[in-house]
Amino acid sequence: MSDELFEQALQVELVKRIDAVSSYTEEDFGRISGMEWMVFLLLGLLIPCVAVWWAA
Amino acid sequence: MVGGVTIEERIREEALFGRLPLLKEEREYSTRGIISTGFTYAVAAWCFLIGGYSANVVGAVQGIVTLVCGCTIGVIMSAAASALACNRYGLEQIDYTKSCYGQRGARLILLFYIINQIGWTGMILVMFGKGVTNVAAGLGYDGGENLVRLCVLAGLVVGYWVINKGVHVLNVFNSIVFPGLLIVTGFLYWAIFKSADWATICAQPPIDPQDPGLNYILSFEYGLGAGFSWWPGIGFLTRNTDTQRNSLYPQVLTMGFGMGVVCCTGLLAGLVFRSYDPTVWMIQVGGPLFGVLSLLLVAIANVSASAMMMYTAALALRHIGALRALPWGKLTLLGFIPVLAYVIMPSRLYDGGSAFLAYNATMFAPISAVLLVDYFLLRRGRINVSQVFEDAPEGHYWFWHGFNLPALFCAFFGMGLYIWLLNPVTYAAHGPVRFLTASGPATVLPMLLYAILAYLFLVGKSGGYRDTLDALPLRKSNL
Repeated sequence: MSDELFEQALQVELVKRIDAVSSYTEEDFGRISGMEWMVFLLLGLLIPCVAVWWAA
Repeated sequence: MVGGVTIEERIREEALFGRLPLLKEEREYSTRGIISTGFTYAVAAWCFLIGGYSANVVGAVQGIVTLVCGCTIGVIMSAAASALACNRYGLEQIDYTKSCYGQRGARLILLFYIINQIGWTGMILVMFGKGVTNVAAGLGYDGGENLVRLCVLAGLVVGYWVINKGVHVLNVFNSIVFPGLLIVTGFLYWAIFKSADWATICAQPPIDPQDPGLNYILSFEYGLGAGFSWWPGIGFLTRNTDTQRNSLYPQVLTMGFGMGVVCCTGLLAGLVFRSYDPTVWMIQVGGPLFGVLSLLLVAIANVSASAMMMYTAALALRHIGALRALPWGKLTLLGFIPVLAYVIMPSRLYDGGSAFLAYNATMFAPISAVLLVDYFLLRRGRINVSQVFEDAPEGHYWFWHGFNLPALFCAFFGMGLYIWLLNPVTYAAHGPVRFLTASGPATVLPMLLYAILAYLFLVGKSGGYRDTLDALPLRKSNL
């Protein structure tokens, strides 16, 4: 019985949380701009790739 | 109230460690929190082993470059899509992959997730067993293979006990292990450079090189494999971060770059002391006292890490409908059964560890590639959370009978391409692997192919690519 109650509460909680999470906007978590992405990919992918090419 | 625990507390537990979306106000990791947690994960005992595999095939400079760059690139590729989506929607990793691979297709991805967790658990428990055996040998007792088996079994029993006691016990373990491993890493670097100067280390040849044109690529693939090995853990961590930046950058710094640096300890020690196996060289580096102490700490770290991985593997098994209702004790026991293979043939599987490491790149490079295209290009960084939990055929992420066939085809095509280019078990190489690596084509080609197939067969037709992002009422919940 208690497990059934928990299951019901879980489904109600799921719906509540889906509604809450769906209402979040990009700004709520700090949007990463296109320029920032470019810098990140340059530092994170291009430089390691060049380093690997150089050491080969 | 059930067994002294209120329903509210169980729901809170389900949100933190289960599948309920985590709300913004519940997120625990700010920048400092995620960096320290990331380092706790990154400074792990298997780093010494990964570095040792590279020492088998390349020298110091090439090893450092391939390990640090490989780990960094691997983490960026596996984290980019998953981290941002799991952070924004508070979703667990496999739940997020349902938006790309379909409700049932994600269960196929789950299989690779569990292979990764079980494989690493077995590897580090054998490392624990070998460490104990070497300590015993140093004290005059030769336990041989049977002592290793006994230790693996004991590690499994302790791991099972820990995860059934709850995740809080793991936190106690980790609070001891992380600073200890940091001290061991520092001590090892000091001891290595005390034994040999930089020029001597650089002059050391690899321990057991393969094909001359392939050694460098193999070491790079080990680094990439180490980075891609984090794919299953990314969602677990990043759903608990407070911003998009904190979900991505700290992971690259800690589990990518930081892990690569720690792996270099194993590389340099392996080259200087002529063994890839940390349980052998650690006693040579540290001497009888510090070597044994380091090994004991690594042993505790290994049991702790294996418990953590089996914990997340058991959580992942809850995605399978038939297993969802199983009590936690039985569910976790189910996860431990395949690890028993490491009790039966520990040394054989341990010696094949480098193949397993490369196999992580085989599995997760194409899976991540398809996720990147799906999330950033096709969905423009947005999914419908309600549909992630919708198990009815009318749901957005149902595709064809629960499978996104183009996505799965591209992921499996990438895996097949990788194995053709570089077989991680036999090291048989074909095509342009010596110039392009195996992970490169196995990432880029599935991305291009999936973008084409998705525009031809999915967008506007199936998969909810242009449908509403507002929450819809659930017909049949999959939680």
